[in-house]
Amino acid sequence: MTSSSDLQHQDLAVYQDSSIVSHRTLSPSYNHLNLILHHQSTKPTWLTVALVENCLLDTCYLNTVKTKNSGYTLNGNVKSEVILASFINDLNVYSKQFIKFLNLDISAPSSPNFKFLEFLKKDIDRWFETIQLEISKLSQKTSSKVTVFLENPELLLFITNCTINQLLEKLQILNQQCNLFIISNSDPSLLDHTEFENDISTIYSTYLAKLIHKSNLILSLCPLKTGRANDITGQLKINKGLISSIPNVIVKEREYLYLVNKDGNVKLFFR
Amino acid sequence: MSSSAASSTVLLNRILTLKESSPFVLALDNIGQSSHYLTNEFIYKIKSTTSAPVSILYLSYETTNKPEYADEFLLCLGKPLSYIKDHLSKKQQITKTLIIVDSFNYITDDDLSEFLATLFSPNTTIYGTYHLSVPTVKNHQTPNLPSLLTRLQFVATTIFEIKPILIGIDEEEMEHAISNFDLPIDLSNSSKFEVELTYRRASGRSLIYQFTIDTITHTYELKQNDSQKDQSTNENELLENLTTFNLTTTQKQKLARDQVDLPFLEAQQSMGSMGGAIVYEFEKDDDYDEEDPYEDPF
Repeated sequence: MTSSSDLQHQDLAVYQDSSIVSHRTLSPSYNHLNLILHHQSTKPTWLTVALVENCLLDTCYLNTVKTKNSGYTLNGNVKSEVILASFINDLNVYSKQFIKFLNLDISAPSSPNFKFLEFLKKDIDRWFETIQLEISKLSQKTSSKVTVFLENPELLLFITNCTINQLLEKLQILNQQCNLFIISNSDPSLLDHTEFENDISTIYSTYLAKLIHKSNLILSLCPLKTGRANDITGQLKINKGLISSIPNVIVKEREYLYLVNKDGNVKLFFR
Repeated sequence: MSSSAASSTVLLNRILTLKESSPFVLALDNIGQSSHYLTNEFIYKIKSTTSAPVSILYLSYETTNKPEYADEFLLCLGKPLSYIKDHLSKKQQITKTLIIVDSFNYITDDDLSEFLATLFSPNTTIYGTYHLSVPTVKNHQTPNLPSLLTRLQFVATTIFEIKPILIGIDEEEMEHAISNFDLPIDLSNSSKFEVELTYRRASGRSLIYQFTIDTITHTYELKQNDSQKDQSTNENELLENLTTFNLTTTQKQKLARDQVDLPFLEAQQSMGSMGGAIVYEFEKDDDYDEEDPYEDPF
């Protein structure tokens, strides 16, 4: 039986040109909608950090070729301005991760190219206006495209009066101004829908199915189907979305196994 | 190629180039194979083969970026029906129009009839998609009302049911993967896929064909389904060794039989040009008296 120690550590690549967030996706003519789906036991924090890093610095801490930006203050030129907005995590969670992997302090207030927004404790009713305001602020400063990471916006369906179509409409308005990465839970326990309109699973499955039908790229994290393993945490699947984007932006579909060890370091292996 | 295979491909081509009269084309897709590639093929065929200009109006419920081929692009999510009505009333329909609805899943049960009535007009073809992966819910206020999908299927004159080509995975596994939103690698959302075409003639008769469509090479291959294959094999097996006579037909004989032009087809070419009129052609032995009114064959 093959264990992860026998396998060679691989670099993360999403597009056919071996890029993670392709420069071509940052062209102003087409706005992309990318999904990061995960299960309860496979939280995507490590992947979100890697993607944010790649959007900002065009590097990736998961890959063998990396530049550790000691004391980087996010004041220089970046590939894309980033807003990371979370409905379930506060700044501390990401701050620790960024310092650990990149030695990058995202909690510094003067970061013109990066903004963390949390709606966990406050401002949940004004989430849309707040993000829109931040996008317009960042867009005014630079000509490059803004990328917004939105973590678990589906919570709005259950803690506010927002309907599925209202939420999708707001996401569409945001997507007209930037590239969007939406992080959502796709645990099978949430997808056991019925024919009842107000059933939580039905609401959730409908939201997710509609979102998938709009997507250009799907990254999904799920546990091993064969059960738990000590040396593999789960699998990362890269699928093209249901809508193909502009020519020459071709997603390379592949599957990785990944290991998040006790220290929190991540390794990828081909399946 | 047999005549039936040729006619089915011709029919598909005619539908995709808007030459066949089919005012409402419905595409049924799921997350395993999106209708996006079929839509692109539709547009390719219209642009490359139709000489008369076709105006394309795109009604977007889920598409963020305006497709290049769309002459007009309306963002309809969250907008009332009157918004589309107002737009259509201002539009002068001189040329043929294709209205693309990217998803019918956003239309409510109550609005569907009015929505379709707004779009239907002469010289217009509606092409829309319904996603089968989105759960259907029962409307408890009107429990006897058929579902949105049933009503769309009832009204549609052409239905494309789109499926991925399954290699190394069976249908049950694929369905399970789709229901869990867990797409297999390199199998889903490919530029080559299968469709089941249901075309409803004005007479009410439905023609059903299965095709494999390759949107890169723009080729369509008729897929003979398993039951048809089994039927022809079974017939041959039954007739073999039944008598001392040879009752089966060889491949060469089948081909020759398919190539025979039936006499009524030729008759339709010369006499069919008269429309629905009854045409009587006199033969040399006919005894026709011009002065006898009762002799008039009409």
